[in-house]
Amino acid sequence: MLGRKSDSAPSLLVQLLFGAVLALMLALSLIALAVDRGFRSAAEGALKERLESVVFLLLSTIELDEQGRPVIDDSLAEPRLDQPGSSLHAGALTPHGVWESPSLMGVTGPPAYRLIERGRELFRGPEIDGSWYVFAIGLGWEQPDGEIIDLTLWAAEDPDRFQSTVAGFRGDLWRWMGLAAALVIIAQLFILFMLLRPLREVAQDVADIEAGREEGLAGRYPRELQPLTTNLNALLKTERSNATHYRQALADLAHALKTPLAVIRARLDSDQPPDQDDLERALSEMDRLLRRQLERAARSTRRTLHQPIEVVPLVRRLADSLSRLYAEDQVRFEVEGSETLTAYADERDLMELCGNLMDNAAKYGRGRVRVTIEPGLPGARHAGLTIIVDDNGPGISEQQFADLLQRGVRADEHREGQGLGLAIAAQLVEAYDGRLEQVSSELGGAAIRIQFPPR
Amino acid sequence: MRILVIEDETELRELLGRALKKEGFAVDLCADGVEGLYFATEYPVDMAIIDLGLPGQSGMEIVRELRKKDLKYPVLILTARSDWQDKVQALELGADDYVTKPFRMEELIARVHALLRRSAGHAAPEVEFGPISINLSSQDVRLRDQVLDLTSFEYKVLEYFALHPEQVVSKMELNEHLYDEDADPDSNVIEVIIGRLRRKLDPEGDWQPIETLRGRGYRFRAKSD
Repeated sequence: MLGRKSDSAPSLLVQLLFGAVLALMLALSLIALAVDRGFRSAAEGALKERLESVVFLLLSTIELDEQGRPVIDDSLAEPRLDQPGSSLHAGALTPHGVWESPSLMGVTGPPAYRLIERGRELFRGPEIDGSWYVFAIGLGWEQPDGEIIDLTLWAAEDPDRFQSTVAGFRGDLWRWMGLAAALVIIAQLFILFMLLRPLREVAQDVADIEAGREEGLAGRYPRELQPLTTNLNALLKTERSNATHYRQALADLAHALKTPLAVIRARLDSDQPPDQDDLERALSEMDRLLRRQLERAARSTRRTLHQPIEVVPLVRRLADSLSRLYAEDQVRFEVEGSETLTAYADERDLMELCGNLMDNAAKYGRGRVRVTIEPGLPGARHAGLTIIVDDNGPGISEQQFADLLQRGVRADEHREGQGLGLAIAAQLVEAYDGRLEQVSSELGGAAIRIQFPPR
Repeated sequence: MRILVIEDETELRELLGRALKKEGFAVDLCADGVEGLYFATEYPVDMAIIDLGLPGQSGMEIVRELRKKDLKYPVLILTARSDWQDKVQALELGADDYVTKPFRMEELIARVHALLRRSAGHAAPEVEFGPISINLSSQDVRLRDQVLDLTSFEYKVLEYFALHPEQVVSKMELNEHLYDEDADPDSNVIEVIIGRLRRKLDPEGDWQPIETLRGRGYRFRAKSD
């Protein structure tokens, strides 16, 4: 067999893997994006709570002096606020004064703050407030004289800490995602490799058949592959059976031609001039044998995988043609059966089969031929089919019927005459694993029933 | 009767020509499809024998063309294939019968006679016209059960009349259908033959089966009254 690698489609494994990797990457990226967002928003929530607690800490220690300026005890419960250069800062302001935590000492670009309305709180990120996360609340502070002064308390944190937490998480996330992707791809590769194993086995089995080590595909294949392997086995069987038939036909032909050849040889070798009639008889016998045997070889060729053929229209065409051929005998053809019945056979074979049986019925009947087409047994893929050709002639005895079927067995045994069509029809039906038998006639003559098996 | 044979194998064509002529038919022979179609449509043919596998134009196409031109004479198909599919296709196109090769010449001749007879509307080979009975198969002619001794040409004329009863047949038509292309018959021959036939078929002169229609030709009477 010639290899035609350039024409072959890309490997199934590569195609499947490529598709799976693409889908996996997309899915993992979306998951990572969602997790990242979730983490960021949770971290921001935690930061807000932290700043909020600092503000309330401040609130618990703050006092306003008589001028309404904020005053805070030097020792704060949060040591980071006392420590200059730390990342946490806080402050308080009223219309009359400002207090800032010692941590702000030396900080360039401190958080901008202003008074906000009483009862309001706000939380802003560095995208709005320069490079700070700021939480602030607006309050009203009642002085001993009953005056209410606006007071805003705020806390701010340098975003570096937040950013480094998020970046750390993100690094971990992508590392784990990458690891998961790698594991999934390896698992998929393994699964695909295992899934495609039956296909490699089929290829190996076919190679074994080609090398003559095996007769057919005998392994246990997955259900999805069974239609393929079943059809392949059917084709192999057909091919082998055809080879046997052709060999048999050639052997029969060679055998059959020897007799007339011997007659010619004997005539030529004899002292007397060859007799014209003898030679002609021998030649026409050779002609006939050649034709018959070639036809038989073609007819007994086994067939598989066919398109459905509508039987009733085909039988009607035959009936019309036969009516013309038997015009003088005024043969009446009746065709019964549903127009939609189909046979899974070669059209030429079906025509040959029905043509021979109907021709016989017209020839030996007494002017009436009935062809009945009925559905056969149901099958997994398609149902079988039954065809009955009935006539009102003298009928055939069982012994005659058996003899007639036997006539086609060997070319050199058969003689031209009645019933040759029956032997041909029997061989054709056999090629489709069907049955041809004689059944009781409704018209009183011979009724031949053909059954195509379901598939 | 004039028969056209379209067959590309020279030996078989010549053999057919000889056998048909021996049977008393006027025969035209063609070796290819194009010439065959010309003969089949332009010549006064009574029947055609056409091989299916022809060079130029296939036998099937010739039959199709003939029927399309409303030419109704019988067509016998010669074929090397004996599949029903081919037979049905040929018959559906308008052929009347088929013979598969190789064949026995006697069988072919019998089919030719049967087709000509059928095309003239006679179901059986034995046809009767008043006191005369003609067997179109064995070519026996009897007058009141007495066998008549006719020459082959006399029989050809009588057969043509028998297949065209009650029809006006001109002398030219008889010439065309009884002689093949190459023949150059003397114009008086037909008259002489008709005269002889009249004496043999109606020695008493009381039936007069062949009428002369002045300026038009002859008419064969199907009944004796």
